[in-house]
Amino acid sequence: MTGLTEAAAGATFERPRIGVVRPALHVWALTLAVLWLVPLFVLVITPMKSVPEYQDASQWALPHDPLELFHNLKTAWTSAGLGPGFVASLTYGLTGAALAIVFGSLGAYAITRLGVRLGFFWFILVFSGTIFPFQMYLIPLFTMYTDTGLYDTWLGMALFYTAIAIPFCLFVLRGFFSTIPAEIQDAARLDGAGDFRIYWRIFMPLARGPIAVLFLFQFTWIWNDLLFGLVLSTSDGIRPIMPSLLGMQGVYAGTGPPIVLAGALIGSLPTVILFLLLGRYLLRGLTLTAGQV
Amino acid sequence: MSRFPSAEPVRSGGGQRRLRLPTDTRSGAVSGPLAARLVAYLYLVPMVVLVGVFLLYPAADTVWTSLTDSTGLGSANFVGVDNYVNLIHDSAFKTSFLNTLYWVGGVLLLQVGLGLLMALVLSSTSLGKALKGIFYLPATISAAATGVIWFFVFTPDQGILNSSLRFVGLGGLTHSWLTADPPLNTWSMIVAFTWQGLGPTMLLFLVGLQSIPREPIEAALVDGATGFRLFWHVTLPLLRPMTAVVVGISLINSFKVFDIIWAMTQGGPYRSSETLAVTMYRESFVSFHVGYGASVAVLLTLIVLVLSIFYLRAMFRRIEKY
Amino acid sequence: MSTQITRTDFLKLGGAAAAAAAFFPGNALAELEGRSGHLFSTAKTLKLANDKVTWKPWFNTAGQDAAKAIGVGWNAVEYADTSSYQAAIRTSGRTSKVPDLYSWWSGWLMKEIVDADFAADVTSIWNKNAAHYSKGIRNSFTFNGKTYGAPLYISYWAIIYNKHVFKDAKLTPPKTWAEFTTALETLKSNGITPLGATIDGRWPGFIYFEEFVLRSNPSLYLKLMAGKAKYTDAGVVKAMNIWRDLIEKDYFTDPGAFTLGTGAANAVSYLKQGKVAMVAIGTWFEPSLVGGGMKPEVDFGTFIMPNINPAVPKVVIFESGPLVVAEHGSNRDDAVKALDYFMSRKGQATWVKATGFVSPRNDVPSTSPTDRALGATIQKGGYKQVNRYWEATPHDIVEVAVDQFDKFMLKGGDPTAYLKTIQKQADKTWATIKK
Repeated sequence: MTGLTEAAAGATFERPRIGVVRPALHVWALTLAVLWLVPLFVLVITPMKSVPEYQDASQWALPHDPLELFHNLKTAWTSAGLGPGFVASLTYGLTGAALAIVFGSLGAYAITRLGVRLGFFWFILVFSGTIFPFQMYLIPLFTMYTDTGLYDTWLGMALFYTAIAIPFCLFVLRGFFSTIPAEIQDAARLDGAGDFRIYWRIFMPLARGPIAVLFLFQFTWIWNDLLFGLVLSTSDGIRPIMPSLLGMQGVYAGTGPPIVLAGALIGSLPTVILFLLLGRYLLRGLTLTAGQV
Repeated sequence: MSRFPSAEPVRSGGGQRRLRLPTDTRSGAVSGPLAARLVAYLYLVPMVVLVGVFLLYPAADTVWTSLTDSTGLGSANFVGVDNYVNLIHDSAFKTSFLNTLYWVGGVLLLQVGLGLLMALVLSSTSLGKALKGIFYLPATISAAATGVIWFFVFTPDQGILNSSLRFVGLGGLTHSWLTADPPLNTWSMIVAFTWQGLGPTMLLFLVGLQSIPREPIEAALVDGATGFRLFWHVTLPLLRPMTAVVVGISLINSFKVFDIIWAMTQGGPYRSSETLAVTMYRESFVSFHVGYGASVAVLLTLIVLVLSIFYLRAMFRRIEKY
Repeated sequence: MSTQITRTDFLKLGGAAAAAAAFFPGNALAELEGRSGHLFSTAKTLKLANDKVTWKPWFNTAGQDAAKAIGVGWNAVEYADTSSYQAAIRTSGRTSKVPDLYSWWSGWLMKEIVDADFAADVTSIWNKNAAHYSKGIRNSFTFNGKTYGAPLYISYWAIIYNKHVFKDAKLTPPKTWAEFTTALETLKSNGITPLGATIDGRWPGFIYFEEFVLRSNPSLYLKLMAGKAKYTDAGVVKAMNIWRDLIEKDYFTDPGAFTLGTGAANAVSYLKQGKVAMVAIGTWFEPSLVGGGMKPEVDFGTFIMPNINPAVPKVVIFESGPLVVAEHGSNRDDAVKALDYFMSRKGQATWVKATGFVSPRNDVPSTSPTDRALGATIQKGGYKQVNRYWEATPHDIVEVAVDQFDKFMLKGGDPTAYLKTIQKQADKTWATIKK
């Protein structure tokens, strides 16, 4: 990430405005940051306590035996199908994001470079998939899935996640592809490359940056999904991780807060790690969204 | 930009291929525009089919379902606009709609307003770089996990919020946050949602601040503008494009909030914290008033569509400006 | 005795089966078994779906026992969320993808699946075991003269109390309403919260409603359940005002803070520590107390809430969920056999041993001394058994009612507004049913 503070002309144009209250701003920012960390503190510290410890001691008390964490993680992993859900979500995220990028890029390429008629219409058609609130899809999907036997199957979930990830991929890649200079394509064609070769060998590698961002965004979205996982699946191992996490809260589940939060920890780690790894692409990604149209 | 006078970026629909060279036949492509176009359509097929089957068809079907009395068990009978009429008289729906408005207001105030404030604060201190990550981190975890975490922050006896209040002697301020009289329970959830959503909006505003042209600022400084006046009359208008984006996205998202509410209260107690999105789910998948639930979905969609149109118009206007 | 299998033969056969099983992928094996029944010498394993996540090991123990006994067993398939579970059964019920056996709720909820032809008629099994199951239970599973499903469990709703707390306060289980209210006051003045109340999960709102109405006027309660009385009738309002009085005297916990299983899940710990003295709950809660370290009859006991009106007959609320055979399941006949075994004395004995529940069979004693004591009380006292609110009245009414009761528990005040709202829904629902 480029130094935002420097680039934002921070030094020059901000200082005269707020020079007097600069220390107050520091305090305010720091206080808010500390407050922001408290729930994360809860997320990390609570699973290190045993269930009776949670009930009896203060919330701020440090755990007696932090290694209790592993015991709680293990219990959480085997409760309410959280472990199988973790694996399932992993496969859905990888497959869905990858396929959506491929299909979206194919479409973006066709619209921007192959001169399909009514390219803009196709773009809007597919993009409209994101405009509707998800509630519009739920009931018919549920009925369709139960009628065709896709309900509660890996294929059913993977197909859906791919479909819903496509519109944004199309959106970003269409924008990106239309910025690729015509010379590159013409030069390649002069060398005898066909359309698909140009797509696969030139456009896609050029789009590495946006693709990384798209992968990050779509994997994260799929991983974090609750609603469709809740409606379209129920068995352990098919059901994604977030519905399983909520399932740990059921009355018959009989687990305590340290175990449920251990589950939340398990559910949160992958996307946090992904963010830490690919985070530098993030700003680029946000700029892409904002600067797209 | 191009050396070839006949080559233009393909923006508008339709038309011939831009450039055709004799060596095209090497790729196996049959010469002739029709064949080439047909092949090009193949590129579209996977995405159009997937989106059409799994997104567009269901959306259309929901509209149909909203006109029936489907219960998911037996057959569904056409009932016209009965569901919509009943909605308007349903007190639970009125509560739900009101709560949705609270969410919209809350998100605009806290996520967007506070996001802008924090962006300004962070862009002017050297702490900004370090603190940015802290505010963005919650956005990397799911809404469901956020709901679970904050559920335990809010639990009346053992939750960290009430414990801390009691610890500092403010025991009188403790509440049963999630079961309190509405709209306190809704506002509690909005706070949790803000914890998660502040990072991205703040980051977007930071990007916006970064890309403001310097000349107007410098000019205003020369004119003697400082402090709040500088911000209000110069900075903010220059930030308008980004503000439009942030407001638009946040607005639309605030209507769709489901995960975090379902994780924390399921719209309770006694349905007092439901929003339109939650009501739709409850009616369709808990009470099995499927037709009725579909009408809530359609209504929600209409509102979001109208807002989206306004948002898109504002966005397109931005292009014309720059 | 040519039908007898020698030991070596058995080992050979078993070895071959194991070797074969190792070669076939799991799915294919199940497929083969499903089609031909007993391809190998392993028993038939059915799927038993349910939404009671913590019961999984108990189901599997019973299933394995059945497999050994009659060659047909089962494995539990868990659904953690009740709503999704109901949705799953509702939608798969008419297809062959439905689980072979599944747990459900009695009364009106069961009526829905019976009407939709999702449940197999097992009247013959009931007739066979008629002497051992009470009429009240049988009635809750009977529709149009036919009986469906076997009782998966029967829980009685009683007051579970902390024996040490009672001893310290010099109290004994109350036998009259006056004794009960005195106990409440005594506990309160000793700084202990007398009664646990919760809205955890939404549904518990009806618990105290049904108790207070039933114990004022049982026939009014039954009429109300059947739509022959109104929520706004004087008798119901009076019961609600008794409840209101107890709430205003601060005898209850904060319903938003006292939770059974979700969130802080502090009910067990509060009862154990003696912060809360009593809770009205089903006996299915006892394993949680045992798991929390309390011993039945030593640390906790039960008594049935005394009648508010001493002139009315003794009643106890029961809750019984059926185990249903899916009518369209692909192994329907085997499932009926499994159900038959489940209802038998041996089957019930295994189930009760695994769960610690009360058996609905009167010749299978519970393993819990508390439940044995309660059972004896019910038998000797001639208590009439009444189905609980959740199942006894149409579900559309229940959903609105529990929300109103939750609101009443949190906000209190004059009950008539809440009752009016419930009656509005009741009017609508009964009108469509009677059509």
